[in-house]
Amino acid sequence: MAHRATEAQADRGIGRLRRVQVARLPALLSDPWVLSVLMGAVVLVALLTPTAYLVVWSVTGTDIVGILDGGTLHWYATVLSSIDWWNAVLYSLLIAGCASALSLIIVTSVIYQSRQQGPLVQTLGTLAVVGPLLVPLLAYGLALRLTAGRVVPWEWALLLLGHTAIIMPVQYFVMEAGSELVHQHALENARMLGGRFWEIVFRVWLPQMTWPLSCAAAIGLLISFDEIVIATCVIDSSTVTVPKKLFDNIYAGSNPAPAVIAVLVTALSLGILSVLLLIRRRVHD
Amino acid sequence: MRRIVMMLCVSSVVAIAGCAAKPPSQPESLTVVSYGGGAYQESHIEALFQPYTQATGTKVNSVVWDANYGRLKAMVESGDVPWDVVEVTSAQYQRGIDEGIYERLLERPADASDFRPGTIGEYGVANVYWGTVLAFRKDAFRGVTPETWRDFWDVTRFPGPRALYDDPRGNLEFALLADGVPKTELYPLDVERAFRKLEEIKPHVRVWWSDGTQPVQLLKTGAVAMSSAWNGRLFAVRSELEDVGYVWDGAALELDWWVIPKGSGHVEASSRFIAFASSADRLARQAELIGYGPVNRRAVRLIDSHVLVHIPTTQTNWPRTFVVDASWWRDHEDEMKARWIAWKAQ
Amino acid sequence: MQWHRGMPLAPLLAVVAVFWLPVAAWLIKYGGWPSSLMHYAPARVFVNNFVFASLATCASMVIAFPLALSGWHLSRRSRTATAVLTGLVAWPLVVGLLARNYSWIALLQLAEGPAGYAGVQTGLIALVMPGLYTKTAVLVVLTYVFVPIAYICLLQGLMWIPAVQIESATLLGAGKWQLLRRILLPLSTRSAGLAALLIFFSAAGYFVTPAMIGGGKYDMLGNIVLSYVGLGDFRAASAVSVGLLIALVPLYFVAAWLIVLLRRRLIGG
Repeated sequence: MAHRATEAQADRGIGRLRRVQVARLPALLSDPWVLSVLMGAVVLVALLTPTAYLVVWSVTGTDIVGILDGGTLHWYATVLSSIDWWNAVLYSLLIAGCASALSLIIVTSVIYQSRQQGPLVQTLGTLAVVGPLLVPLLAYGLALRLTAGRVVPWEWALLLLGHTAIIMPVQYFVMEAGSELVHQHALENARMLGGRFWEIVFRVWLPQMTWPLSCAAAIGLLISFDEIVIATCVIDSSTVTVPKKLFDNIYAGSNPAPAVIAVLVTALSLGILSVLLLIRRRVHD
Repeated sequence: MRRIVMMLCVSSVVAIAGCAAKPPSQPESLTVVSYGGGAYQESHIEALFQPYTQATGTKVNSVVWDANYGRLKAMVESGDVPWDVVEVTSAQYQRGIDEGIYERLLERPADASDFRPGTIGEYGVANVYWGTVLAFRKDAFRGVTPETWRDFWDVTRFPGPRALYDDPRGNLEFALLADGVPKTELYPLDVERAFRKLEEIKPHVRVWWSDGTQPVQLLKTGAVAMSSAWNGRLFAVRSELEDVGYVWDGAALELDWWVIPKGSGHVEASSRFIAFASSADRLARQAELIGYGPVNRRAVRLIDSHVLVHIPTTQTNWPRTFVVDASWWRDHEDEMKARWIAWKAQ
Repeated sequence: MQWHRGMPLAPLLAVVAVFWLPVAAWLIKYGGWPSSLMHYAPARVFVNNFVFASLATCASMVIAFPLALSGWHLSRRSRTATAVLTGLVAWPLVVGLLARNYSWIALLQLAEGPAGYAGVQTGLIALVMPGLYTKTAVLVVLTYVFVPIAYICLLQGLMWIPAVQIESATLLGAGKWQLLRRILLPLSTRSAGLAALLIFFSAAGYFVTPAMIGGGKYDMLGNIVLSYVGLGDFRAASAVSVGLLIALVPLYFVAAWLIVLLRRRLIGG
C-alpha cells in the first residue's frame, strides 16, 4: 500500500525496456557504475587534497600562510602543552555533544509527529525548524545575547541554545532526505497490534532510522564544533570554544594552529569511531 | 507528580535568582579587554596588568575581543556586563558616548598636563596612538621606494597590485592626500573628490584587507606590492621583515581609548585601573613592547631609543602624520559605510 | 487512531522560544524595514549573493552525484565500504571551516609561486587552479565547502530506494543506464531537492569564504551584515537581514512542498 506509487512507476519504466542495449563504447566505459566510480575517485582526490595539505602545513608551516619551512613539531608542542587549548577542546566537545543530542531529539520528534498531522501543520512545523537557515547567523547571535541574555545569564546555556538552533535545520534536512527508509507497513502493523507510542518509536521506528540518525548526529556534532559566530557574540569570558580560540589567534598571526587542531581533531574522531566499532562488535558477539 | 514538578520549578527559580544576584562591591578581580591575542595582549599583561596587581592586589583577568562594536552594544543593552574595562577605537568611543553605553570615569590620571590635548575625556582615557602607514615590498620597484600616498596612486612608476583597508575611514583621507590636498585642509572631507580618486586605484587593489595580520601576510608572500598597514603589526614582526619597509609620511593616526561599559559592577576600581594604566612609565613600557605611540608625552622620553623610530608620537614622526578627525567621522560614518559598500560592488 | 495530539507542540514551542522569539524581537527592535534595504545593500550585491549561492549549489550537487552513486553502488556489495567512503568525504567537515579556507589560501598561494608577486600565474598551474582573490576562486572554494553535505543527502536519497525495486528491474531486463535514468534519478529527486535547498540556504548567508578567499571584492550579504554590526549600525544590519529573510521565503515554500507533498505522492503516506 505504501509503495504502490513507486512500484507503478517502476513497472511503467521497465515496460519500455525492450530495447536492445547496443554497446558501441568499450564495455567498461559503458557501465555507469564504473564511470561513477572513476568520477567519484577524481572528486574524492580533489576534495581531500586541501584537507591532506593541512597535515603538511601543520608540520612545516610558519607564521605566514603559504610559506613553508622545514619540518617541525613546534606547533604541536605549543598547542598540546597549553592548558587553554585542552580546556577549549573539552568545552567544545561538551557543547557539541549536548547541542547535537538536544537538536536530534527535537528534530526526530517533529519529523515523527508531523507525519500524523495535516499538511498545514507540517508546513508550519517545517518553517519553525528551518528558520535558522533563513536568517543571518550574526543577527541571531546578537539577538541571543540581547534578549535571551536577560533570561538566561549563563554563557554556556546561551551557547548551547544557539548551537541547538543552528544544528536543527541541517539535521532536519538530512533526516528528511533519508526518512523513507522506514517501512510504513511496519508502523501500521505495530499500531494495529496496539503498540503504545513510546514502544513504537523506540522499537519500530528508530531502529530503521539508524543510518540517517547517525549521519544527522555526526553532522550536528561537527557543525557545533566548528561554529564561530554565535560563540563570538555570546562568549564574554576567557573560557572559549575551539573555533573562537582559533579566531582570536588570528590576530596574533596566521600560524598553523588551525591545521594542528584539524589533525588532532581528526585523530580524535578516528579514535572515537574505532571505540564505537569495537563496542558494536562486542554487542553483536 | 504535580507536586514534584512544582517543587522543581520553585527550586530552580530560587537557584536562578541566587546566581543572578550581584556579588558584593569589593572586587577581587577586574576583567580588562584588549584587542586580539598574541603580542598585543602579552604587552598589556606585562606592562599594565601584572604591575597593577602588584600595586593594588586586585587581580586582572585578561580577555580579548575583535573590536566588534555591535557586540559590545548588545552586551550593554542586555544588562549582563561581565567586562570592566574595554579598549575601543576612537570611532567606537564617540559612538558609544552618543549611544550612552559607557560609564563616566570616577578618577582622572594624575599627570593630566603631560597628555596631548583631547586625549582625556569624561568617559575614557586614550591609551595609544596607532597609525595606518604605507608599507611596501622593498624589492618590488627597481631602486625607487614609495614615499607618499601620491606614490601609492602612481601606477606607472610603481606598478603592481595593492591592498587597502576595507573601510572608508582612512582611505578617503589617503585619496585626498594623493590628490594633492594638504594635511591641514583635509577636514571636512571632500567626499566626491575622494571617491573619484579612489576610482582610479580601484582596479589595482587586489585585496581589501579586514584583519590586521593580512597586510604582513600579503607583503611577505608577494601577493601585493604595496599596502596600507597598522604599524603595530609591522612592529610586532619587525625581526622577520627584511624585505618589507614602511614610511610615516601621510600616516593616519587614531587613538585607542580605555572605557568602562555601562553596567559594569566595578566602576571605581576600573577608573583606578585606567588612571594607573595611563601613567608615563606604564605607557613607556607598553610602547617598547608593541610600538604604538603613548599619548603621554613624558612617556615618549622614557622609551628606548632603538624603538623610537617605530613610534608615531616622536619628534621626527609626529609632524609627518595627521590625526583622523573623530568628530567628522562620528557624523558621517554610517552613510559613508553604506556608500562604501555600494561603491565596492560596482 | 488516537495519538497524543499535544505532542507535536512541545518541540515546536521549544524551537520557537529558542530561535524565533529572540530573532523577531531583535529585528523588530531595530526596525530594519526592507524599504531602506536598497540603501544599505545595493541591488547588485543582492543579485550577486544569490548568483554565487546558485552556482555553488548546482556545482556541488553535480560534483557530489558521482560520489553518491559510487557510495550507493558500493553499499550493495558491502556496507563497510560505503561507511569508509562516507567517512572520507566527511573528513573535510571534521577539519573545520577555518582550516579548510586556510588550506585553500595556502595552496593557491603556493601555486602562484615566485610569479605570485606580479599577480600572474605561470604554466600548467594557471590552467588548473584559479588565482587567489578572484571570483573563480571564491566559487571553487564555496563549492568545495558544500560537497560533503550534498554527498550525504544524495546518498540518503539513493539508499532509501527499496532493494526490491532494483532487483525486480534488473530481473525484467533493465540495463544499467536505464536503471539509472528511470528509477534512481526520479526516485531520488526529493532528496536531491532537499540537498539543493539546504546548500542554497547555507550559501546565501555565508561569509567566511568570500572574506578570506575573495579579498573583500566579492562580498556576500553575510559580509555586509558583519560590516554594519561591526560599526554598530544595527538598523542597517537588521534591514539587510530582513531583506535576506524575505528573499528566501519563496524557496522555503518549495522546501515545504518537497518535504510534505512530494513525499505523499512518492510513497502515499
